[in-house]
Amino acid sequence: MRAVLLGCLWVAVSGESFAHRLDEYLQATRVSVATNRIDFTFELTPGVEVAGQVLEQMDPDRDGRISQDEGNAYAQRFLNDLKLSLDGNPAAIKVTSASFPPGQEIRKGIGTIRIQATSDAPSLGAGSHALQLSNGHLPAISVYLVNALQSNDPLVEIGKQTRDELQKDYRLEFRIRRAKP
Amino acid sequence: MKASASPAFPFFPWLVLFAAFAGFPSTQSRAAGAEQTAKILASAQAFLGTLDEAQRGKVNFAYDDAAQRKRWSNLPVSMAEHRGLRMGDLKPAQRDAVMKLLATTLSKMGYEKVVGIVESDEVLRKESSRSSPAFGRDEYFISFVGKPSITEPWMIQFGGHHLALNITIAGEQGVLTPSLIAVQPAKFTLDGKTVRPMGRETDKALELVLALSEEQRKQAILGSQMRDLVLGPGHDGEMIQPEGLKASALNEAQRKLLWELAAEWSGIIHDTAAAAKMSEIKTHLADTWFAWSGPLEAGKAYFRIQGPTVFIEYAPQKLGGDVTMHIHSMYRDPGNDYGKKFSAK
Repeated sequence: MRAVLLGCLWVAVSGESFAHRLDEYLQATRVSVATNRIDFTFELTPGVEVAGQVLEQMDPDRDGRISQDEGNAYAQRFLNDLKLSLDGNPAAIKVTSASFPPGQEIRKGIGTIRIQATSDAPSLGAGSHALQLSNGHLPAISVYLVNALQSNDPLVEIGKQTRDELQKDYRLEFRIRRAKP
Repeated sequence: MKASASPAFPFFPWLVLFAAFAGFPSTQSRAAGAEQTAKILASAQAFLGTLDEAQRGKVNFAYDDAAQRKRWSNLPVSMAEHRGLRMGDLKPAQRDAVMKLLATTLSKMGYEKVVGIVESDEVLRKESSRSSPAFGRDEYFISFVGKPSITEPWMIQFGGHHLALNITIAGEQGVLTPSLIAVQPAKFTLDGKTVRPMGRETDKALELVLALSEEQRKQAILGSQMRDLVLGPGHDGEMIQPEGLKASALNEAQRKLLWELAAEWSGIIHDTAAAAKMSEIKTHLADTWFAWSGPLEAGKAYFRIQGPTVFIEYAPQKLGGDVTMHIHSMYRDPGNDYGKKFSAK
């Protein structure tokens, strides 16, 4: 009986495996620099084989539905696993919005969680700056992408981006130009 | 849908490249563009003429329908909503009319690539279990966003799993961005011939990276894994900071390789629009960046071409085992996705 069940599971998984993420939790981050704050967009897509582990954190009452409170708690837990610093000093980051697809989509490996966050940086003055971001969220199952968006603000000049091989650790150099009086 | 012309041999869009290098006089290219638009319009009207009222209601969307414009994905149709007319629901004559419209709207190379991608999905269907998502040549959708016109902007959308063509026609202009071009399996046999719908871009990219000096390669190669597209579906209007090697540091032969690599995407649309686009890319070539991540082997590495008017990503996928058999790519124009430059006029 166990063999039959395992066989069914294999068929189901191998059939689905053509279409979408499987055994990785993709965490894609985009960084947007403004003169007085840094905005972040995190897109988190658990693969079908690791979705259960992610849902355990996201849906602790296991009712298959991610409530507003559960979503907010997960978004905060995610941010707690990040380390952000600006010019070498620890910087706070707070959730501005979070959206969660239905649990069913997450289980199928096609659901993407979107978390918007921001770090206020009122003291960013004209000159060179460096941001460092380390992502320690569920490292055993995760793969990462992190990129700076081009800035539309003429006062912001995006510089060099440095990452470790996995893109867990990221450093962004940027410059704020002095505003013309 | 059948791959009548085999993409197995290395087709090279010489005509398009020559036209772009030579630089058509603008009046000539505008006249050629207008002539092509007239042919596309005739093909679109011929297709619409085969439809009944209910089908026409399904295939047509208003030009300002932003939701439909962005309703495309790399996922199979059973996993992502598609609207329009499903190829599997059309009669043979209607399907033929769709394919004729695509053949008129795309270059020979582009049409072969698209047919190859659809046929690869048919291979996937045959190899998949019953519980698999819906794959195969029936699972592609056609729609029009805006009324087909000789002067006003409108769009043709054709897509499904691993394919999203968003083609804006605006008077004599044709724009293919944003479009998702992907394939799995990336190599298969059809009628006894080997088909690699994305074979040329795979090989040309390797040729380019191998043509770089050691110092250039150090700049081009990103020191981190790239596990997916950065600006895939859902990222309209975003643009990342370019990285890698700037083409101003390339010699003429290397620049030509880069330009010819970009032509594998910009040359999908019909030759006149492709020539205009490639000429535009050439104008900005010195400000175009090339980045690579992964081994120096064909089809195993991510690469990106990014310039003022072009953004191309190629990302081999781990899903399915062999990364060389599953490729996702994205083609964008930072300033002209959905032909917004032309539509704004």
